[in-house]
Amino acid sequence: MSFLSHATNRIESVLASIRQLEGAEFPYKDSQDALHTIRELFERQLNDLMEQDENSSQEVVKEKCAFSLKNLFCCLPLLGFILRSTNVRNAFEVFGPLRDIARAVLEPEVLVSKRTTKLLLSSEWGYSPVTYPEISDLPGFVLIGLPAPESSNPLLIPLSGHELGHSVWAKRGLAQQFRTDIQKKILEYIKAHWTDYHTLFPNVSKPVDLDTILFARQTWLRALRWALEQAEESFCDFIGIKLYGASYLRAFAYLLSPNVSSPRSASYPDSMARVRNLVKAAKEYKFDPPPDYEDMFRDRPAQSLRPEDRFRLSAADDALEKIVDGLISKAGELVSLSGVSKPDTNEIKRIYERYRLVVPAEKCLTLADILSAAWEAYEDQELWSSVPNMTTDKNRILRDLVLKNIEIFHGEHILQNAQ
Amino acid sequence: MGTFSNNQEANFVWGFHADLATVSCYAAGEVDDLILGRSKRFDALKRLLEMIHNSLVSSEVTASPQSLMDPTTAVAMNHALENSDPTISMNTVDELLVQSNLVAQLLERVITDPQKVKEGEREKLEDLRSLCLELSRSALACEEPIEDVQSQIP
Repeated sequence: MSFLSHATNRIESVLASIRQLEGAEFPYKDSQDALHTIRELFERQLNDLMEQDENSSQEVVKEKCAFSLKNLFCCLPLLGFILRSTNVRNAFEVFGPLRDIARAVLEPEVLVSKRTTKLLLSSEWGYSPVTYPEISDLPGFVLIGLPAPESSNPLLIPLSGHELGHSVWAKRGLAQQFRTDIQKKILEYIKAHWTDYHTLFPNVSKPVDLDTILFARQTWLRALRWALEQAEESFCDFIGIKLYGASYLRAFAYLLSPNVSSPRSASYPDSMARVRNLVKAAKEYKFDPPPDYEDMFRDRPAQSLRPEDRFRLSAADDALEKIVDGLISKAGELVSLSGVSKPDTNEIKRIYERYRLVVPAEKCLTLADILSAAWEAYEDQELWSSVPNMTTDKNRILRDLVLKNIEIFHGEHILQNAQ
Repeated sequence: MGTFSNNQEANFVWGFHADLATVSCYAAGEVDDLILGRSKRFDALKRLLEMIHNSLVSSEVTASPQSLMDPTTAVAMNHALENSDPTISMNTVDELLVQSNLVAQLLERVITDPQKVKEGEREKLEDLRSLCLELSRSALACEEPIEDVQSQIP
């Protein structure tokens, strides 16, 4: 059974690599714990495969080998992520505050001292903050990756709110909660555009068949999936805004405006729809969006789709638009439940005044205040203009200043908890 | 019916991917072990029963299939049932729910009294193993190819 021995050898190879990684130095134990969890999974799968023999159903053995290969596909990028989480390129100063926020949002019902959520913070060689959707349920871990050239840029830390949102979405079972409503909106869309639908799917003869006849259901299943994916991405944006206020919008614009020169993905809302929803959520949460924010963006070109998929995507877009208020409410409700304070205008101003003096602020209340003040400073063209040496190196100095401020903030927080 | 927590899930052989495709694959393995007389546990079969129950069998689903039935599980189960038994042909959601209920009942019997099923319904066990494999493949067919997932630009 060569396929079985190939499978076991592949797992033994990855286990050897994991053991090697375990010998590295880890700035935070969370990365080490993630390695152990993955190693134990592969050890269990290896043991299971080793128990298969010639009496076992060969179809079952092949299927198990196939799944073990899928696990390798999924876990190898994660191992790389864990390895890069040890790289000094990362802004380790933000690790503690970010993990506190993740724990508060994911475990609001647990005493602070008993919270266990772990964080993997890494710098990635892909130009986008990432999570790993296929392993988003690595139990008890939140994965946040920032693009390597920006991974020590604290101005982009608000985008971690989006990545945290994926963990909230999974942990709270929100796909199940919103699915019924989204499905209803998609069926309403189809019924409202029945002539177009019937032209594309002539085998479905009447609207009543849409949810009772099996093949008719399959015609709109992809629309449902796209709408759910768009809902999740939108919800994650709203978590980011509720946690970090307008600094989320600014970080989003820094990374993604005016748009990526690539066709639109059906898993995300249209760029402009997404931006309009960001502004809507900001207003709902009582934050002022940056002036002329929408003008910074434009839509990505439409993907070349078959007519059936174009119809499905329109249905998905329409469903998202109709449930977006519910998503904004749910994200707001869950962040409020966490007890994480929203950014405060007076605090932001106080911290910003310190930055004008090139001095970190003491006794800050939230990470969001620090990051919002950082954005104020970044966008102030006059900041430090009286000191020529500083204006030429403004961005680097500001980054260092903000990271130092976050370090002080976290140190004070530890002391406060110890008293 | 008990539910599995995320942390428990991580301790099972299928690991972090407690999706229908993976769980069905390992459920087929547990049935195979039972047929060979070396069964140790029924974690995957219990998890599969829970998934089918929640998605296709529970009273809430049968009362209102349009609102609570998990569409992906429904498509996968439809294909799996038709592929594993050519005599089954379903057209409506109601027919699918009836067939799913029969599968759930068989799973329940296997979990509750495996020896009795093995001795009295050996052929049904072999059918169940085939169905679990088909269900695994049908559920996979509803997923994005892994190469596409990994190359997505968020």
